[in-house]
Amino acid sequence: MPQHLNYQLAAAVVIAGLALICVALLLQRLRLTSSVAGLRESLDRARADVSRHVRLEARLRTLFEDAPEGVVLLDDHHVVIESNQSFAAMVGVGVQELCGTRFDRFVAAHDQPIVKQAIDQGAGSPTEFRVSGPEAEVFAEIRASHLPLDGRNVRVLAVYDVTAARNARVKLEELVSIRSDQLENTNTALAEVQEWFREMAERSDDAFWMTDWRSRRELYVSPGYSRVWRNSTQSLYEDALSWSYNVLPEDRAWVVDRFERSTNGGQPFEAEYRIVWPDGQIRWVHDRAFPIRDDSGRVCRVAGLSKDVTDKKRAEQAASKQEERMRVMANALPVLIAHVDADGRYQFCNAAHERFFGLQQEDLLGQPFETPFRAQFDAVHERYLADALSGKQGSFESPLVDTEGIVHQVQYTYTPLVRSDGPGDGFFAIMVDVSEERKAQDALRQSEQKLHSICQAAPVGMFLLDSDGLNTFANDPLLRLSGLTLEETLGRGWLKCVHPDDVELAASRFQASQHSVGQMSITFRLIDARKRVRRVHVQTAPIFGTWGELAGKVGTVTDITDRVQTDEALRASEQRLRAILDNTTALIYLKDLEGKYQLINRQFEDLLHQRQEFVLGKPDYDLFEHDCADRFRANDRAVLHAGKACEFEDVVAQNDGEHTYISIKYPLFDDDGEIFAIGGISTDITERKRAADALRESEQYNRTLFDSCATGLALWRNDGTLVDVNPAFAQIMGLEVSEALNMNSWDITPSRFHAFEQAQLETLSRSGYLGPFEKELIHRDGHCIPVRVSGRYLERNGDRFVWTTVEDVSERVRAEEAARLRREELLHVARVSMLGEMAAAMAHEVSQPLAAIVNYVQGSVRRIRNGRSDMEGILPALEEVSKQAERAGKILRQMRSFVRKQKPQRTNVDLNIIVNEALDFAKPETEQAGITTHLNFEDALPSVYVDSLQIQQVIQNLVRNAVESMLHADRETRLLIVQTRRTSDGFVKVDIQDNGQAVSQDFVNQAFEPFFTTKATGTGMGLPICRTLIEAHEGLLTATANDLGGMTFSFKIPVFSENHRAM
Amino acid sequence: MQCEDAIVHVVDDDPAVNKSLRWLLESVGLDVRTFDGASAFLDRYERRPPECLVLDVRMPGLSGLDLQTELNRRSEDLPIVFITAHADVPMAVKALKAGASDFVEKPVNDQELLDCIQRAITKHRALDHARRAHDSTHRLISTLSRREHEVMDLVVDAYCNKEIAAKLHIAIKTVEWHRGKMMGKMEVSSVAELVRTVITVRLAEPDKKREPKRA
Repeated sequence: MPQHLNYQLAAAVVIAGLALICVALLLQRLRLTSSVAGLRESLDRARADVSRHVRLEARLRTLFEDAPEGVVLLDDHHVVIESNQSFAAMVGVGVQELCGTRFDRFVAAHDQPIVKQAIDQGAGSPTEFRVSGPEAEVFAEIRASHLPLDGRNVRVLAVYDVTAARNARVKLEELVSIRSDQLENTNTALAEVQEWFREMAERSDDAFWMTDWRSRRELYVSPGYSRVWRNSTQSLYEDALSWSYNVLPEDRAWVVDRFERSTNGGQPFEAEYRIVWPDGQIRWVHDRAFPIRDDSGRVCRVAGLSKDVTDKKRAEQAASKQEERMRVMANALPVLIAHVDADGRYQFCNAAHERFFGLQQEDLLGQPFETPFRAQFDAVHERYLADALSGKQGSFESPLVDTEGIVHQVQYTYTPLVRSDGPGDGFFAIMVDVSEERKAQDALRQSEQKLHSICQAAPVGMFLLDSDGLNTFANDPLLRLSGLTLEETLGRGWLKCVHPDDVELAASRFQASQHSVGQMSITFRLIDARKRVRRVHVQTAPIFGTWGELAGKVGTVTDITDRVQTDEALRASEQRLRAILDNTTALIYLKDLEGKYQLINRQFEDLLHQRQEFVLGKPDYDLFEHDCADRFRANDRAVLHAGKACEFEDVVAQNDGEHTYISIKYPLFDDDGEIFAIGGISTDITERKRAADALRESEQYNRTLFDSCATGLALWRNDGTLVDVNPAFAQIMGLEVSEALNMNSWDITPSRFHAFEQAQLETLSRSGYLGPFEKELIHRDGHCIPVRVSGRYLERNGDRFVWTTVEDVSERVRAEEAARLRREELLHVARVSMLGEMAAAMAHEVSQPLAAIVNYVQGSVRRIRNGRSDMEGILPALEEVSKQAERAGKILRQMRSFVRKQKPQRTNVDLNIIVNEALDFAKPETEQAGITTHLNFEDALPSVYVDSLQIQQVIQNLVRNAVESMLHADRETRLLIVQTRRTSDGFVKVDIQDNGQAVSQDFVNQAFEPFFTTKATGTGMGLPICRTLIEAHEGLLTATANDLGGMTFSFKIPVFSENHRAM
Repeated sequence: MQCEDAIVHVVDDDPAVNKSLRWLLESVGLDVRTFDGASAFLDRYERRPPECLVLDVRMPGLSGLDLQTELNRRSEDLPIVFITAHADVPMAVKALKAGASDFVEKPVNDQELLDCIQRAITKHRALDHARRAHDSTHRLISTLSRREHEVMDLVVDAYCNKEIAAKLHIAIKTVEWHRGKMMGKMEVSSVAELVRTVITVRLAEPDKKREPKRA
């Protein structure tokens, strides 16, 4: 029994039980009101219900068992609870076996997901799947529904076998698919054809059209119409006859007429006619029309195709024109020309036939070829005719007698017309009268024969070259000379006899002249029959052919060996002489007795700017100025008169001025002792003369310069004797030049300079240069003249001299002295003007030691009074007092010396010491300002000749400036660099650099001006005074911005400046 | 002389002057410290009263007047006796206006200089005394709570407890309690003593008088 029915039954029983319980309760509740009858009635009703259910269940079971579709009940896990026979049959498994198996088992793997989904959703819509299990393909469709039963959710599946339906559907689908493919292919093909046809019609240059004949309306006109007619297709659509309006008027009537007749009669129409384009061009059109009949046989439509055939037509016309031209040409030719067809009959013959045979052209056409020849057409003719007709070219000569009985030698040429596609089209016969030609050839042959004999008999070698330059003939003399046979000389064989060294020359010359129409001559060596070297002269001349073309060369060969040897000897001699003449710098010439030039050398040519050819045979008068020529002739006559060589000096005007010549002229005597010519050799001595003059002038010029020079110039020997002096030198000492020349260097130099001068001379001997330095010379009246001397060694004729310039510097020295005095005065003024400030400064300076002294003394007094100290204890204080008193004194002395106007106290000192002292003096200031001071002193400085106090003042002043400029800067960075060094130009230089403030050059320049100051209490005299002081020492004070960011004040003082002063 | 414990600083750029001054001043038993410049002095100076400064006016770098300005800026009360080699009136006026104690000219009369130094030291000692009293009062006041401070101010301003209570909106008992603590903290035993102490501070800092009340 199926389980679910058990459930139903159980349910019924339960309900019944419940009912009983209810009844019992009712009874209990009613207690007494219950009745047995009622109870029974209820029981009966319950029993009836149960039996009704049993019946229902049996019916349901039958339905279930016998259902044609498979019915399956699944639990939550898709496990089969129960299934009917139909399903079991479908899956090929027994009903009993089915229970407990998973439903998935019967579903093909790929369908499982959709089936599972369908079952879970309980969707009413059918889901198809393939049943797995049976061998044959079985397809099933399920409809699932959910049935809650007994607390479980039972899935009820109705399973239909849809295999047959599915197969039918699949087959149908395939069929439909195939059919539709076929249909599609057909349609595509049709469309393609249409499209293709349309494309063709549209693309074609030809006009394609179709007319509905009854309505005379165009059904289709291709765009080609507008190209052929140059009318729009629209115009033809609008008027089917519009095409005919463009037909050339002459053609229109017959074209339209024929077109109408043909088409109406159902016949195709084809015609070529002309139309006129809108632009006036006349075009040929090939037109074809095809009538189309309907079922009843009547013409319903006409289709047509029109082509523009103008180009073809033109080509045809051109061809026919060409043919006509050929015909005219053929008629005009003096030769017989005929076209004979394959049957051997005349197709064409030219007018010459008429003249030759006396037969009309028209008469001959269609006649057999032999007709005009009559009896003269012999076997030879026949053979060649047969050959020509069979396609073989042939040519032969045969005499032919014309109508007048004259015999002509005729050359026949038959050229077959061969067609590629079959038998021949006959042949062309060309018959030329060559009688005259043959006669001329005979005459020529005879002439040649004669020439040949002459040629062989000639005493010179002769040969002939063809147009390619190849030898074709050599005469006997030539063969004898060369020792070659005629065959050996042919072509280029003759080169064999040429001397090996000349082969290349000969071959290339012949090659080069091969195409030239001029004559060619060449000399080369050849080896003769006896192996001797012979020099031959070969000349070739062109031979021209009938038409003036170069047909070859004829050449002669002459043995010139002997002649050449003589000539060469002579020429060598002449060349030697000529070389001598041409390479001498003198003019060499030869004149005859009339004064005409017979020979001149190249110098002479160059002089005259004329070639020898021009000059020879001309007299002097043609070549020189008249008076010049006169002189030459006079010279000539003198020579003639004297009968011997004479010498003359001639001046000749030339382009570059006058030239002077020394000429030697001499007579030439002939064998009889008679003078027959005058020779001359002229040498140009202009340059020599000019150089001598120039030298003289130069010396004169130099002497004048020397004498007129305002500076004293003197030339000394090493021992001090004077060689030459100028007036200025003598004048310095108040002497005459002659007096000065008697002096010695040591006579005129004061004795105090002797040692100095000796030292200078030693320098001179080392360096070659003297000075410049200053010394003094003794004047005639005894006083000394300050002079500045400089000089150098001078080599002259191997001797060494001292060349000096001596300059009187008295004026300058006086001026300098005056300037120095003025400067000192100015300095004094400056000092005095500074006195105010100085006084204040000095007061402070002096008051310091004074204050110290007072303090010491008072301190001591107190100590003694208090009894705090004895005399010993006071002693250090007293020593201090003494020191401070000295200090005060020194300050006062300094002040006095600064103010006092006196000549500076100069001594030779080491500048390093001065700088050190000055810096010591300034130390309180620099240390107070926290300035780091770097000293960079060059050791062993040469001493300078200075006033130490003044230089110290300068340094102090500059240092003070530097310190003040740095007060604005950060205390830690303040840096003062003081350096001393010797410069290459003979100075000692002191640089004082700070890193305070850099100022512009303008500012610096201003700072050196008096009374310029940036300080509240400054006088503006500091820097000007410094500069004055330094300049008084011949030094220089400068200020520049430096790369520390501040200023560098530098001054330099010359080394040994006391020496200058001492001189 | 009553300045055995006093220090005299001497600042002069001239070592000779420095040395000689030391000689002179040590002869009367003063503790002398010399400096060769204003900067050197500023670098090493530490207040140790009583003391005075003998200062040269004209010095390279910082001058004597510059040093005076700097000391004023640092609120140092060090009395200064200027000495100068060439006094001019404007310079003297300037120095005295800026608080210099005296101005003497070089070379110095020893008695005159010693008198000046004596005056300066005495002055410095007094200044120092006042300053120290002032400092201690300040320290005591700083220990008071805000309320105690308020009460103290009002007591000093002579309000009675009742009035103070009214002003501060607190109970009289509370005022009394604060007042007791305040008196203890200020280390005074009577109102008079309190008033005296506080008044000196107020006089020294008149501008700060009302500050506590606002706080």
